[in-house]
Parts: sequence; structure tokens; C-alpha cells
Amino acid sequence: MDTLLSVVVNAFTPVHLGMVLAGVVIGLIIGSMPGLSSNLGIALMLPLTFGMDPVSALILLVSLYTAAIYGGSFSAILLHTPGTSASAATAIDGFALTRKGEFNKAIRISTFASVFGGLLSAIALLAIAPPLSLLSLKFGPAEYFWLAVFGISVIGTLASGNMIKGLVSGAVGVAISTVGLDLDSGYPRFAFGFYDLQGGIGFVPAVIGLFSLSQALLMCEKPHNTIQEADPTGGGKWRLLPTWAEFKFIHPTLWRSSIIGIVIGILPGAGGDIGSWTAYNEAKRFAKNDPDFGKGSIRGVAASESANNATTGGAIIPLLTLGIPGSPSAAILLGALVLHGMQPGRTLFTEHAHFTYTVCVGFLIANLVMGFVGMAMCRYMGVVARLPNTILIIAVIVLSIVGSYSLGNNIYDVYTMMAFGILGYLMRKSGFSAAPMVLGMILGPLAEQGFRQAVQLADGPVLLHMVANPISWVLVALIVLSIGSAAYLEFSRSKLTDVMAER
Amino acid sequence: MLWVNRIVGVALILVCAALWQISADYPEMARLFPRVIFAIIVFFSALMVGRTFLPAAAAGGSGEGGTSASVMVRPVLAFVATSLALAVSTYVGFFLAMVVLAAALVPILGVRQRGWYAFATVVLLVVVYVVFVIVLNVPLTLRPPVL
Repeated sequence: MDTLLSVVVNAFTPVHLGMVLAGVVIGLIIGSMPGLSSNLGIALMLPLTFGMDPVSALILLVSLYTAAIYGGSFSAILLHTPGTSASAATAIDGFALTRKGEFNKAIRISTFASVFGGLLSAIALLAIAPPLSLLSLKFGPAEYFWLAVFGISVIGTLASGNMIKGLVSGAVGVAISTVGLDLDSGYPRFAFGFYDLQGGIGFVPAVIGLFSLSQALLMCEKPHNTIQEADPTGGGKWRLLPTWAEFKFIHPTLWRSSIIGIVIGILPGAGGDIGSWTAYNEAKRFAKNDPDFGKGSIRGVAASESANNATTGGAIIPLLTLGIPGSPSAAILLGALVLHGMQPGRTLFTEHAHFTYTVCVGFLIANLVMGFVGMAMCRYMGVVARLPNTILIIAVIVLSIVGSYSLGNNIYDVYTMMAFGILGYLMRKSGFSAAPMVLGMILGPLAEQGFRQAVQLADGPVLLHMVANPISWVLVALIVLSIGSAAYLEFSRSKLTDVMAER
Repeated sequence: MLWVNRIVGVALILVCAALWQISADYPEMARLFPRVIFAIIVFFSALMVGRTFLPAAAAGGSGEGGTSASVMVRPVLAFVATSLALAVSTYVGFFLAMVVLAAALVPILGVRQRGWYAFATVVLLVVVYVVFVIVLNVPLTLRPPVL
């Protein structure tokens, strides 16, 4: 009880509330700008958190994460251009409502649904994560190896449109993590005589390059925004909360979509976009008596927005308990956690319980604050969302350079960021997802450590030793299932394409 | 996308083969894990190349942005300009180099509202100066080191 009280008191200190507010405001601004995503926001903010204590840093980043997902709804509703991919489904009914002159209603429902989904996922995080972390106690070296392989295989198959490309990207990420001094022998691996490479390839500059600079380069292709606009003035009466009639109309959708969002968030690799589309399709199935669905129904907005924010808390559950992020943004959060000296697993809920629960409570507060700030800022978000791409491009480039330089005042980090920036751009152009590569870089050392320990402990064939434990069997089965199901889906899709081509 | 998949697949196989050879000098345990990963990359790369010879399944995983090669001119020019600005920053200082970069991006991106663009760049650099130089003590050079 004392711990609970001290956690709540700690979360409500002015510094931590300030971090929540800063994270929410920055997240809303980044999320509302079409083209900028929560990944980019977290990657750019990472260097700024280095001088902070771990609690403040993580509270800032998780607040930014959830607010950026919600912020995407502003441009979706106002400009029919989702700020983030997670808000694509919101654009259908949200923009239709704005065209009908009900902008305030759409924003009100979107805000309420986002807060509802976010709060439910924060509660799920607090309820599910501690018991789930007990599982990590049963893990030995071989299990950690399989866990890392499972994480990479799932994010590789789910987060990218092509299974093989996703798996290649993840494996290359693991290979990149092997650059630098070997921890056991001290032998420099793949450094090619460069002193800087002996320290390994920095995770943060690589993430900034892969997510931020590559996005700026992608935006250079179309530097002039082409957006549909609707006039938000006269968009109905401003209210903070939905009316009782509106709430009664959407509350089954809110519950259903939030639960879908939490479950999909927990699945490694499936982020807000998959969550919101799944919930939207489910809401459509249940809304057969709603003729407005798809043409300006508040149910559509509620389904998409509650689900995408519910995925945020869901994605943090496997991240804190097993070190497997549930979304690409959570993969960067995992990197931040490790950089601040925290290792996911049971110790986060025992030794570092104060830290973990304060961050979780901070996440809960962020979801509440986000609602008030969002409703206060909604009238001005249109201006932010309309910022010319040219201005965003120079801003992202400059911040990427400064952010990577500020890590250690070392120009080598900037060169690393530049190299990963152009690599990320070329990957995105050729259909390779950057998320599996980032996860590979994070989980690579864990996989290598588990693999080497298992090899050293084995007194017979290594492979037999690595699948000796029932948990290993389950993990191997899950790996086979994830790759097998993705392969089957791709095979079915390609057969369908063949049939259509023949016709 | 077919030829991209083939080139990337073959390139990855060649790079892995070269790195496998390079790792031959490493201590046994230091080279074991990287070699397992190289084998995995080679396996998936071969699958990726092999798939391009199958009907329909061929490409898969379309990329982002425009499909023609001409759309990549602006991003490549912007990247080159950024690299040059970074190289120049050693001699003229970080902030002046960023002003030069912003100016170089005007013709590359075809900036229309130049007044707003200039104003936004100045505001951005002032914010960077305040946050990074004053608050976080990052030694970003304000003027050429010789001055």
C-alpha cells in the first residue's frame, strides 16, 4: 500500500506532470502533421532524454507515443489526410462528419474514444504486466534466444507487407548488432580498422536515420502538400464530453474496439493501424442498422480511435515483461529503456518496481491529460496540420543532425545517422520495413548471449539442448506458426493474383 | 520491383559470403553467432530471389512513394546537399552550414512561400540554439572556428 501511494505521489510531482504535458503537446503536434509519425517523434526525442532520470525520460516518451496516435485523428478529420497510419480508418467517417458541418462532434467523439481506449489499455497494462512478468523467471539462455527469434519473426512477418523482406530486414538488424568488440574475447568484429566501429553501431543514431531522415527524404518526393479541405468553422457546438445520447450510441463500440486494440497491441509487431482497421471492420459488422456508417457515423470514429489508442498500452505489456515490443514505436521505447539501464523482465516489477509503476501511472495520466489538451487545442490543430512539407523537411533534417550529434558530441554518430537515413529511404522505396531491422538491432545481443550460453552449456547436440525445455517448444511452435501463417496468407494472395491475371 | 528484389538478394548473398570469409580469423565463439545469422540471411535472400521467378507472387511488398526512378531525384539531391552541409560545417560552423543547407533546399524542393520558409528556418535554428546549446550544453559551433 505504501509503495502504491509513493508511486502515485511520485507520478504527480511537478517534474513528472511537466513531462506528461510536454510529451502530450509534442505528440499531438507531431501526430497531427501528415507524414510525421509516433516513430519519428520518439526517435527525435530520444537524445533529449539522455540527461534526464529514467522515470522522467520514459514518462515523456510514453506520453508522446499515446498522444501522437491520438493526434493523427485531427488531420484525418479535418483534412481527410491521416496524420499517422493508425488514423487512416478515422478519416472515412471523421471527414464525412466535418463535411456535414459536425467537426466539433467528430473531434469530441475521437477525443473521448482515444482517452477511453488509452485508459483501458493503461489499466490492462497495470493488471496484466506484473503476473506476465513471472513467466520471464522461467527463461534460461535457450528460451531468451528463441524469444528474440520469435519477436523478430513476428514483427518481420506482421509489420511489413512482405514476409521474406521483413525477415531479411530483421536478420540484417541482428547482423548489424554483432559489429564491435566481442564481449567475451574483446576481439573487434567487422570494424575494418575503424576505431569508432569497435564501439558498435549506435542504436539511437540508427533509429533517427531509419525513421526520421528517411521520412524527410520520402517527403522530398512530394514537397507540396495536396490535401482536401473542409471548413471547420461553424462545425457545431464545442463540448468537452459527448452528450448522453452520443455515449449511449457508441459505448458498446468503445468497449469492443478497446478490447480488440489491447489484444492486437499485445501481439508483437501489430501496431495501431492493424488495431484500428480490425476494430473498424468489426464495428461495421455490428452496425448493420446504422445507415450512416462509412458516411459520417460517430460509431466509425469511436471504433477506430478507441482501438488505435488501446494498442499503445497493449504494445507496452510484452515490452516490459518479456522485452518484445508490440509495435514499431514500442521497439524504439525498448531501446530507450535499455539505454537508461533498465532490462525488461521480472526485475522491472521487483527491483525497479517503483520506476515501472510510476511510468505506468504516468502513462495513465497522459491519457487523461491528452483529452483535455486535445480538446483545448483542436481549433488550432488545423494550422499545424497544414504546415508546408518544405518547412517540415528542413526541420526534420536539422533535428535529426542535432539529435544524433548531441548523443555524445561525436560527428561519427551523425555519419551513422546519415548512412541509416539513406538506407532507410532505399528500404522504404523497395518495400523493406525498417521496424524489423530496429528490433533485430535491439534483440541481437540478447539472442547472441542466449545462443552462446546455450552452446557452452550443451553436453551433446546444441539444437537438442536448445529445445529441451517445454517453454522452448512453445516458442519454437509460435515461431513456426507465425512464419507458416504469414507464408500461407502470402501464398493465398499470390494465387488470387494469378487467377485475376488469367481472367 | 522484380529487379530490385533480385539485385538486393544477390548483393546480400555476396556481402554475407565476404563477411563469412572475414570472420574466419575471429575466435571460434566470436564468429559462431554472426555466421549463423549470415546463413539465415543467405537463405532468405535466396528465397527472395527465387520468388521473383514464380508467377504473380513475384514482387510482393510494394515500396512507399512514387514508383518511377525520377521521383528519387529530389531526395538524392537533398541527401547530397545535407552531406555537403555537414562537411562544410567543420569550416563555417554548424549554424551557418544549416542556413546554407536551407538555402540549397529552396531550388531542390521548389519552395513557393519563401518568406515563410526563411522565417521558419530562423525560428527553428533559434529553438535549436536555445534547447541544445544553452540548455543541454551541446557544443554546436555558432561561427567559423577561425573567427
